[in-house]
Amino acid sequence: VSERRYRWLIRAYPKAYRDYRGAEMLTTLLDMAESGRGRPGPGLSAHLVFRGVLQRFRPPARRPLAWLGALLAAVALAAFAGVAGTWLGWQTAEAIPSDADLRALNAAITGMPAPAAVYPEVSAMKGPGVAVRADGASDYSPGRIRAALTADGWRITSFADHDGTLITFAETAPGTPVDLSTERRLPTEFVAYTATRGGLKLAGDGMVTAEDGSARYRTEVWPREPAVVRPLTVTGLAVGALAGWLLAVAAAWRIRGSGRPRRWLATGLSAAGFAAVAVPAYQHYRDVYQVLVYAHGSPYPYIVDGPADGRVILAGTAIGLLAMVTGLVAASREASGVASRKA
Amino acid sequence: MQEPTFLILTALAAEPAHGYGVIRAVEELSQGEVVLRPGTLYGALDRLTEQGLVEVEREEAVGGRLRRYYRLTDSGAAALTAQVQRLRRNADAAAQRLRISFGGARFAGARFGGARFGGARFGGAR
Repeated sequence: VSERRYRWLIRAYPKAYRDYRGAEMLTTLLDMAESGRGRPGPGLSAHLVFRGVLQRFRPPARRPLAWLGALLAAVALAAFAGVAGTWLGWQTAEAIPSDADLRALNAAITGMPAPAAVYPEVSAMKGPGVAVRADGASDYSPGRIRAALTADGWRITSFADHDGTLITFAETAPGTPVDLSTERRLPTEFVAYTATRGGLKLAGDGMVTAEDGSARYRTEVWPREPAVVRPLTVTGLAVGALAGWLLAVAAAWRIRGSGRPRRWLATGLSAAGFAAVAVPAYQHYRDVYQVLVYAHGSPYPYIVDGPADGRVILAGTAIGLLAMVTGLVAASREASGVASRKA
Repeated sequence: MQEPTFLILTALAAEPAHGYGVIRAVEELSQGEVVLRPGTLYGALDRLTEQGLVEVEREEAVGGRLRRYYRLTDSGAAALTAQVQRLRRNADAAAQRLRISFGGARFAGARFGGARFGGARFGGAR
């Protein structure tokens, strides 16, 4: 019974370590138990599990590149897991209304029945959002805006309008200066309002020029940041760092058993992999930073990234992963080959 | 050098020993004060092997149980000898100062005099 228990406890140690030390440790444990020195109590169990887990964190001795690799893997994976934590957190946010609902609200607010353009957006802090834009001809009616919002379940938190002037110039060909002599000053009504509904926020503004009846309205809707976004982001960072270190250490132990050319191949490919994920990791850290510095209460979901960033991240991540996995497989194939030949 | 390391090297100084043999020897040498747990022992053996102070002498598999015997290397013996001299020097210095301060025969005993560490034990290790 104690042998099975010891075998199970030794599994706390990494496999590469068990392959060398497992049988020997088991003998020692059984020798101790038989002489009455070390009974398989909770103290000994905790000791073995603790030492085993500790061993999993220890890169091979006198291998500075293994230590460096573990450090880089921890830093890189922390960035990816931090972003994953953020994503997970935002999944608990209140859902954005459907495009149809948003268009209906827009029509009710603006009095323009024509279908409005709906733009889904991702904020700098990786939260969802949507912007509805409507350009057309309408009049200005604060009562209609308030009634439309209230009827849709929104609670208006601010509402401000004022008379202003819209200054326009005649259109010119691209590259030619504006002709100042064509300046026109049009009396225009400006309005801006905010509202909330459950976990959602809304900000809208509009301008209506009385003279020609041209109207331009914009409505943005986004969810309030769920309380779990930041804790999950930080947890992701920690879990990623831990996983990166453990994976790299396990890989270093596997690679250690290979011949020199394979080891260098694995090291070179890992270096290339780390170089490829450097940009994505940097971008992810910037995202995590934006999440952590976002003002509480989700006042406004601004954007700091262009859409091109996604491709760089995807390509860098794919190339990096491919390089590292290839290196590991190339090195551990031979390592297992050596092991089986020895057996 | 920490005490468990010192005791493990001391345990292996006389003759090669396997894991449980080392644990038993350390317990005897320390008069029951230091009882090594297996995780600690093998952690120390890993480190001492990496440092080249200890090496595997032979392996035995009896009744499905693998026993690995360890012995002191030349540099292990040198490290232990250096540590013994350091401990003896410090112990002598301490005993001398105690004699000056407190006088009398209480600390004049042969315990630090060298008979205990100066014996043939280390000489015969290799």
